[in-house]
Amino acid sequence: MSNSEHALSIRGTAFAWEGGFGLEIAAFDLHARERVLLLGPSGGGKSTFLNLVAGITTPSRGQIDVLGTDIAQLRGSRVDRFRVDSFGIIFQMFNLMPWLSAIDNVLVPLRFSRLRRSRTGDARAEASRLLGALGIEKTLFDQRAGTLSVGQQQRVAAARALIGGPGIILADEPTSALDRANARAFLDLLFAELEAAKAALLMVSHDETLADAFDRVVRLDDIARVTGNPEGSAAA
Amino acid sequence: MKSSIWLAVAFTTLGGVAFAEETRHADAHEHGHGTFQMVIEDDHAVIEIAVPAFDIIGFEHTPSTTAQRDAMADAAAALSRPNTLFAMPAAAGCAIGQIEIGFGATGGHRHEHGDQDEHEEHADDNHGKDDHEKDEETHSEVKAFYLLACKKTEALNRIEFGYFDAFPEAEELDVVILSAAGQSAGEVDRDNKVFEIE
Amino acid sequence: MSLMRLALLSLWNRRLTAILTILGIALSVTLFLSVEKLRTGARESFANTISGTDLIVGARAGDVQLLLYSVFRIGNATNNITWESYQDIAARREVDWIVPISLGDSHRGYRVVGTTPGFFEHYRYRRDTELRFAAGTTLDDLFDTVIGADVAKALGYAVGDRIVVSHGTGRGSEAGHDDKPFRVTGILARTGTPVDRAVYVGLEAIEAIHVDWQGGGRVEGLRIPVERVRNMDLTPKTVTAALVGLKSRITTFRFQRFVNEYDAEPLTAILPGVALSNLWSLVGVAERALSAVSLMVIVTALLGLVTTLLASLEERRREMAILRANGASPRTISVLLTAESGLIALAGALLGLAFLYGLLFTLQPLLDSRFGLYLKIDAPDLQDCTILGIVVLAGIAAGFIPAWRAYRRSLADGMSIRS
Repeated sequence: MSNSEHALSIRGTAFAWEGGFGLEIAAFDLHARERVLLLGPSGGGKSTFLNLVAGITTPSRGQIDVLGTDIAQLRGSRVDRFRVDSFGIIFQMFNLMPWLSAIDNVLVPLRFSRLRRSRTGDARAEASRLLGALGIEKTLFDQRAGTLSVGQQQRVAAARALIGGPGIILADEPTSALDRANARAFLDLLFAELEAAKAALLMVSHDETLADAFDRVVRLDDIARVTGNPEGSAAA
Repeated sequence: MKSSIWLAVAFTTLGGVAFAEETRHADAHEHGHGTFQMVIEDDHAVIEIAVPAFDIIGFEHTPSTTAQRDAMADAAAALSRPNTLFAMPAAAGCAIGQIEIGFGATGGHRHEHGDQDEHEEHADDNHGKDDHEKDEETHSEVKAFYLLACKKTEALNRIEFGYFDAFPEAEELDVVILSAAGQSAGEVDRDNKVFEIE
Repeated sequence: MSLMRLALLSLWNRRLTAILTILGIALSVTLFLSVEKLRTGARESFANTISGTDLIVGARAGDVQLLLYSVFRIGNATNNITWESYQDIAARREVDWIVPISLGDSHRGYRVVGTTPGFFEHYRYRRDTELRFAAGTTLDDLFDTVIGADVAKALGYAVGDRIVVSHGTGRGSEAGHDDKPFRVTGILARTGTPVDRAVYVGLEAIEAIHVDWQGGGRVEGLRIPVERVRNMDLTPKTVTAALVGLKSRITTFRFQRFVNEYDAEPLTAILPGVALSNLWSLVGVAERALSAVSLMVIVTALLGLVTTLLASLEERRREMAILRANGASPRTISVLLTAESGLIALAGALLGLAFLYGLLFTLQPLLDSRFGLYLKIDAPDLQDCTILGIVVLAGIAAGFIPAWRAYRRSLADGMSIRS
């Protein structure tokens, strides 16, 4: 299954939390440079899905092929290095370390990924370029991230996800803390940079109104089956 | 001339009625507990130990069996190796000049290693009656005297008491050391075999 | 951006709690180290009270008791030694020098010691240090007196002043021997020992001021003028104790035995070094308790460190999740936490050391003058370094608990930090 067409390919994967709760994913594919919106209600196993894809949790069976590597087979710190090499990750909110400057936050993945560092050249220049492209004013670059607005913080997080050109951007409800206009603006800027970086996007959300901006919309219910209540267990 | 003084000292400490009362701790004859006195002066060191015979040979009566006589001979042999019993830093370069070992009875000491009842039981044990009576009448003490000649007495800053390995019945020694640096005193025991001379 | 810088910036973000934790550790380290300093300082001062004296002879008594009254001037002798016995001992071949000590009188709360000029010559303290005259000279005339440094300072005496000695050792009864005042001829330099707190007069002077006394009170109507006293036989009948120096150390134990078995009078000879260490082993219990308490304080401070780190984990969950998402392995996160904990402990240990030296420099003169406790200020010794090392290692070990928790949590939380 590992060919350049697939950024991500999941086959017959299952994961079980302690206590019998679990998630089973029959099949899912994300093609290179494709933008997919994964829709699902809160508590529907979205976090588990993302943790599996990002290699933070290990599946009990099946394979998760990321850019030609079965992430389920990686062990120890190799999976962590692989994650930062392959993925740019944007959370719903609280993406940044508030005591670091905006630009230092953007540089964090380069600390852990030699691959992305090697692709970047002048790291600070690239971080500045990305921040500028995502609409952050120059005067804010060296401000503590904690002083930025939520919208600005999400765009700094996007710059961090994009720096060094990872193949896939994983976004976990990145617009849910933003109002509609801001959400739209955020997505437009993100998409423009995705184009330049030639990266795929897998965005998880419960907001169906965003669907028209994506190449494809997938419902979690259609590809995965929740056994028990994994979100509840995960939070425990 | 100097060595004649040393010999005189050796004679007076050990010769004659060498088992007169000691000034410290010898008032009570307590099994397991002995004294170690050392004087360092010029290029000499004198060591004198006084220990209940029990600590050294395991009994305090006149040896009557072959095994007991062997035990005594073994003890005497062990006592003749002061560099094992009281190991000093090699840097001090101490050589043994003279050794005297005496086994003797001490009269009139208070008995401290068990009350009367215990002794009655002892009598019924495999101890013979004669042994028992002797045990109650007398206590005996082992005294040993060592004269060492040292190249560098300043290097004598610690003593390791292999003594406790050689004599399993020994528990404790009261140590007094007199040197140009002053007088130091303390205790060594099975768990704490090293005495640091301050 | 290095991991170290990331850790430091994160710590800086929580600087208030971090600084308080560091202060806690620093103070506990200071406490422990200064208790250790005081302990060794006190022990040394103590052991240095008397040296160079081979034996102290007194009436039959326990060795600690004899040491206490003859050297520390604490308590009283139950009996004195007769002059005949003293002479007998002094005449022994082994004896190099002998200095009598006669106690029983006082001057405004300070003990009066009747002795001979030999005292100033033979008494040694702190590794064979001789007594020195800060002013004036030794005893010469019958009514001369030499005073210790504390006495001179506290009472404001100078050479040439006249003082009156009173009978007994209590304060107040100043009228005691007012008809026979003494002239201060010398003031001893500070020694930090009980020598500083005594007034020294000749042995004959003690007799002289008592010629018209009997049984502890002045004989009614009997006042013998000074000039007549000078012509009387002032040979003492007794002395309280005697310091003895031997020609050869080798004879010490034999000489001690001779004194202890002296037939004519029950006497005791003690080895001052041995008696000091016996006395110290009594005091040592309290000293060790103090050490144990200050050790507990360090343990408490380290527990505080663990608590602080554990409490900080909650607010740092987000930081951990961000680091995890960006390639930090759970091990890296554990290392970050242990490093932070070790860093706090190290800062605490070093700050504690700095506090200690600050304290030493400010308090040393005071301790010396007030308590006669002289603390040397020198580089941290092996024991200090060991303690500091242990604190840092314990700090790192303390980081293991939160590190392990963070490790577990980073696995469980994954990337889903929403709070």
